[in-house]
Amino acid sequence: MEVGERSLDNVPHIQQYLQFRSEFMGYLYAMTRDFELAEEIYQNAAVVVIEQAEKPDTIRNFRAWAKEVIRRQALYALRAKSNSAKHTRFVSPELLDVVSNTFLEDDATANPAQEEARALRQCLEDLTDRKRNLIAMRYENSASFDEISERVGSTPAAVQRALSRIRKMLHRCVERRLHLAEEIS
Amino acid sequence: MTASPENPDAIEDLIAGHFDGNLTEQQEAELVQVLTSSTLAKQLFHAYMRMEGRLHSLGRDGYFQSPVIANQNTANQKTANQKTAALSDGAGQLTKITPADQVNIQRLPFTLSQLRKSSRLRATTSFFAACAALVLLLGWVLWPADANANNVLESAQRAAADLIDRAYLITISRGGWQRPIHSHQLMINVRGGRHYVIQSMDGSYTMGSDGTDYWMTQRDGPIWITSDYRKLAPEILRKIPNRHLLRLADSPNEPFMLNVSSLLALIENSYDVELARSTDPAKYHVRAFLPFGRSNQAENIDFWADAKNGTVLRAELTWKNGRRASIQLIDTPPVSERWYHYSQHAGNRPVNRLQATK
Repeated sequence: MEVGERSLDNVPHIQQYLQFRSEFMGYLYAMTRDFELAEEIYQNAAVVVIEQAEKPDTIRNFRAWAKEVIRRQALYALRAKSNSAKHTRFVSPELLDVVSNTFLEDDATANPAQEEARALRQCLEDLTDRKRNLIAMRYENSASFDEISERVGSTPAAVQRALSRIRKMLHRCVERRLHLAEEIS
Repeated sequence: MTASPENPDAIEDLIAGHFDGNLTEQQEAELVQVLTSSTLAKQLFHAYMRMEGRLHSLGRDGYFQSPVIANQNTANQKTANQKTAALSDGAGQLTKITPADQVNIQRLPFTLSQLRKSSRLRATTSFFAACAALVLLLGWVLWPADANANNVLESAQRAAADLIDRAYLITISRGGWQRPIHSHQLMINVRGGRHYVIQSMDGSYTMGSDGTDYWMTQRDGPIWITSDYRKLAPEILRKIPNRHLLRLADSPNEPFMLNVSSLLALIENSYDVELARSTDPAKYHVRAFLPFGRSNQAENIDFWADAKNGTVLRAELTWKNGRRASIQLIDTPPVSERWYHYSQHAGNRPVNRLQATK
């Protein structure tokens, strides 16, 4: 039996939840575009998962159920934040709806997701030091574009463009590697 | 440039712009329109969302080895570093990191950003924050995220280096695990520091190392000893019945593969690793994949390590040509230090010492 296809029925919910961390964090960042807030929502949703561990029979499809928990927590947190910061511009409600629907519809199975994760790591290895440093500052230190630009002696807009280009490059690299792996197998 | 299925670049620009938070209201409306009408756009958005989540997770796990740490000693970045290359002690004070600290930090399973998050959690006294901290703790103790496969590997290497006796049952075969075609079984007593004794289950030969000398004997034959195992293998190749097993010993790609330390070192040096799902919370399951273009080594190596102490409990290796090997930890009575010395296995046999290759 392949690892990725192994049933998760007997795995405690909290472990399953942790396994989906990347997927959930991707959605939360798409909704909030705020590392700290995304992390906070993820943790709050974890509390719900822990509480539900006492009545596991009510959950038939953990991933779908957890996605719904995440979505509700995200909307709740965004509402709370928009009430407390009235002058800040957030993502439009229409776009939030579409992003949430897209998230709920994503049914990439475990095996392709594993392959994709592996391909991404390989692609990251291929980056130049400069590009890798930019990614590290952004994703490891959660630095803002302003902070990064100060550190590298550039402008925030230039950093943003550079990171955008790197992400595109990574996306294409992942696609290429997955395509190659498919051809080989 | 209008985003449409015919123009995937424009869709990608919109998606990237969304994640960067720099779309205008009009562009957001355009993204809504394209996401509701185009399957390609949805697929692209899924892919970007997953990538974004993975980059965050990798960053959280310290995968990138932050330049903040690497740049600590760069004098001309001193000011910027003071802002970002210091740890907050929770009271707003900045603590300077010494080079020694840098080494220690890099070995910790937490990154600076995680420490900041931990600090934030400590500051929160609500029940929810406490539960969340418990979740994070469970995450580290029971089920680390993908990038933590490296931590499991490191922990397994430390455990394998300990001078503790362990016994493994080795099965080498061709064909599937359920219906192997040719199969041989060996038992190996292994202790850290290159101490091991391998015995074929049919009694045809025994080989081992006491950390200094490598030795081998076949049933009713002499004992061959050398301090250079590469010398040992070809010398005795012709003398034992199932000699193909010695490929395990004389191939540079499988340096004493049956020695778990070497197996883990091989994984560390040549393989991509990731944590797989394990149905048993007491074990971590790591999958190691050989990158493209190296076909002479095992294509996949799976190992299961004790979640508490890192000991490798089982490993399975698969080659492209169908060859397979499995290693399973078994319970045996403890053995003495002398067990690894050839004299314990020599009996009245002649002892032949081979000169090491210069």
